[in-house]
Amino acid sequence: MSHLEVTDLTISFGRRRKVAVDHVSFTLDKDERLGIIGQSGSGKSVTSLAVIGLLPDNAHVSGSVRLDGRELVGMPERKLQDLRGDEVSMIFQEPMTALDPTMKVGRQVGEVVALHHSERRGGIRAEVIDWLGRVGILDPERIAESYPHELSGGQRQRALIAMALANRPGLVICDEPTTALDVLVQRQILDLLDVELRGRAALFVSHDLGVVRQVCQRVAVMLDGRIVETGPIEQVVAQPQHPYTKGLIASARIGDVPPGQRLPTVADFYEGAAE
Amino acid sequence: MNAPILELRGVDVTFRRRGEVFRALHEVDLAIHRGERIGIVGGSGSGKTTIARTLLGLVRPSAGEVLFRGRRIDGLPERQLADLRQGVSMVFQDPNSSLNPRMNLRGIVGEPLRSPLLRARGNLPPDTDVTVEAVLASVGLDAEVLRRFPHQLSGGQRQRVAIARALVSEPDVLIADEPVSALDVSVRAQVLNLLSDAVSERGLALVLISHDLAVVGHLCDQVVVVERGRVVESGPTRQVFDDPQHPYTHDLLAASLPI
Repeated sequence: MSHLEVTDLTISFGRRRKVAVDHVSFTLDKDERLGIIGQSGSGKSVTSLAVIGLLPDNAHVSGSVRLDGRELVGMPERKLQDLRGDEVSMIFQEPMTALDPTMKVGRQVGEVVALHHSERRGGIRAEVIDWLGRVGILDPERIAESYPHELSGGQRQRALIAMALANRPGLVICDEPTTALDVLVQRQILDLLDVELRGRAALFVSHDLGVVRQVCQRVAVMLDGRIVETGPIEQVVAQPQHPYTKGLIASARIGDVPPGQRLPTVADFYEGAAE
Repeated sequence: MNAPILELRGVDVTFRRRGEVFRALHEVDLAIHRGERIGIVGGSGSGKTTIARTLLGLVRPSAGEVLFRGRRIDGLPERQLADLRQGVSMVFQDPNSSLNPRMNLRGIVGEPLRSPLLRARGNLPPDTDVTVEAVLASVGLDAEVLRRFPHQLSGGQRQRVAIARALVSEPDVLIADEPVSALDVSVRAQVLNLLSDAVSERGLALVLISHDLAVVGHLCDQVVVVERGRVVESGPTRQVFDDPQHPYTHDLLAASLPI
């Protein structure tokens, strides 16, 4: 049995039942990382929100999401709360909005532990400092006493990673965790994730194949709510099958095009993609 | 070589934060000639954006000079900057925040043409539907979008609108601050093609600020590498990228993730 089994997941929104995710199926083993690639509106983020039970109330969900054998679709919110942050956690794109601006960083990281493991209450501060150090924050004591706005973008993302990992969840979902960062910090954060995700299952959602490739062995390409291609990432990059994937790879190879020449776009390969 | 259009000479910029003085730029020299394409690269906080803001006269340097067409513009009041405002346009990173959500595209793109400051100069195109439609067409948008609002467009279309607004006053210099980093990879190539066409067709000088070296390598013939407010390396893009001299340039190149 896989750690995560998503079967025929279909999600629509509102009264008009606009379909965002259309019969999506995939599995994830206990120590496997899957990248989900797609553009805005492809359904990649909605899929990941379904896995952590964070879809808004107007979402209609059918199909199945099984985590370690338990069905998450239709699970009452109170039970989901027990899982969220403990067995499944999420690293969001924008650490400035994912962190509470009015709360010191150390307390926010500690809150996750306190919420699920009241028995560890006494030693939480030491645990928080330990985690902040482990994710590469050089001065964890000081950062724990700082507010999010006092941190750099990279430090905030590190704090968010500490928060997501503090309870040692079996599944970590990363939703564009480096999109808001510059290339140097992005590289550091990807290296950190590569180490810290070892031995866990991870879903890595991104629009950037180059980023996903640093962390994942397998990739699924999403387009208009469906998975149109899936496979080992090196194979998909070397021999993309779906025209959309071909376009995605060609348009990302900016370095291969001589200056002054037109860059290939996704539309050259696949007509249906929205801009 | 003829005189630069836009120039920084030994510019220092300092900010005060909680009583502490922070030097954002140290003795930066930069010359932008007609039709030249310069990339400014560096990590977050390196001073890239401060350079752009100084070129636009939005930040007053604490030392050095900013010249536009040979005239000093640093420290001048806004009402004396009409030439600069018409001649130098800016495209910002995130069109979601740089476009007014309450204005339709007609209003947004035509707005520079309604500036009394620019109108007083006399040689602006008229603020008519025809002008706005023509500039929208040049960025690949149909006239039918004229009455739409930013939220009715995709991210790539919004950035096209931002470029159209920058072009409408017929400038000589376009400054683009991370113009594609808020966009999906799948949309970037289209917007870069558009930017490249717009600049070559009009013979504009381009200042492209980016942390993505592949983008700069494709669009720019000159590159300036900035670290902690200092220019640490500069030269022809090919030469700098093929044979970087400074360790920071090395790090930036090594951090790129080509596929």
